[in-house]
Amino acid sequence: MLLRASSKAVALQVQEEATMGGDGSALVEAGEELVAFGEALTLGSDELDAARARLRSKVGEATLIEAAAIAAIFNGLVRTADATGIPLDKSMQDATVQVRERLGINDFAGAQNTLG
Amino acid sequence: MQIHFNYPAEGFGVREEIMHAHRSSWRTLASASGFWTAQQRIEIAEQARAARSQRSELSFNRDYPASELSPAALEAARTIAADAKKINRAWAQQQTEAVGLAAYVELAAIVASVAAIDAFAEALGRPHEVLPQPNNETVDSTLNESVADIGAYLPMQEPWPNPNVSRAYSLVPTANAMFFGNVQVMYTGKDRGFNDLVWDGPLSRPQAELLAARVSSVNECFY
Repeated sequence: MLLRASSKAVALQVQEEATMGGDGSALVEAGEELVAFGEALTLGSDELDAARARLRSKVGEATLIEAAAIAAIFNGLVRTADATGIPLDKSMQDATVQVRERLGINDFAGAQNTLG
Repeated sequence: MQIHFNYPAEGFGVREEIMHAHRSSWRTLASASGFWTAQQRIEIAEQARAARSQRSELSFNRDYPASELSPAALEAARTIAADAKKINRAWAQQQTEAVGLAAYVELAAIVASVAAIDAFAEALGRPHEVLPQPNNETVDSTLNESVADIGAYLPMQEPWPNPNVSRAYSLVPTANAMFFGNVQVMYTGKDRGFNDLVWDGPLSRPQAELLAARVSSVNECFY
């Protein structure tokens, strides 16, 4: 959800479908490498070493470490949201009606409580 | 005395504030609280780590280290670590009734913190940090009295000016501080907040949010 708001802030046309595994990540610099890295880390995939190497070669070590931090903390944030049943913030709920419907996010199990 | 998270010695250029947050988490983890002994808190972390490491296995195929934790505590730690997307209100109510609301809050904050710190190790390509030994310190478990039912599974501080997720563990402020101390430095950086829409870190905001959103999506996390 935050992707939509922050992308507006920098006037960049990011296709939200990329977050769901579809095309569009190429519109963000190193987007394909970032998505592959985040997927491999989250799934515990054997592809992680290769994904890390591709991202490092694209963005360098310092940016790789920042990407590692963000991907890692979101693996804690999702557990926090799911374990506590945190409701979606009202402003974000109102602003994302169409994109949630279009991407099928409303079908996630956690939507039952998060949507209130 | 073992030095945990010695990133510079391993050749990783990790920001100092991240290293300090991870060390602080381990120190807090190794301390007793009003709801768990230090040994129990470390066992929660150990169970969470084992569950998350086997998240791609069916639940009945996973192996766990021996533990003195109650069945309800084991169920909570393992589920939050490996199967969080399956959690619903009925499950949460059952667990909070069995272990206690505040104890559940502390448990969940430990599991989420360990998941994030372990994921960071994996992302860098380093081994998981050795879990700490119990220390003689005590975590303040004073409950927050300014909480209300906001529609979550747990009472949370109300009112709250920031995104809802940042008050997830606010029933026990030290638990909230343990996890969100890591969020502050790993996601937003020490001088940035959730609500800033433009930043100047190595990753652009669109890059960071694309990565974060993809991680959330793979986890099937609605929030």
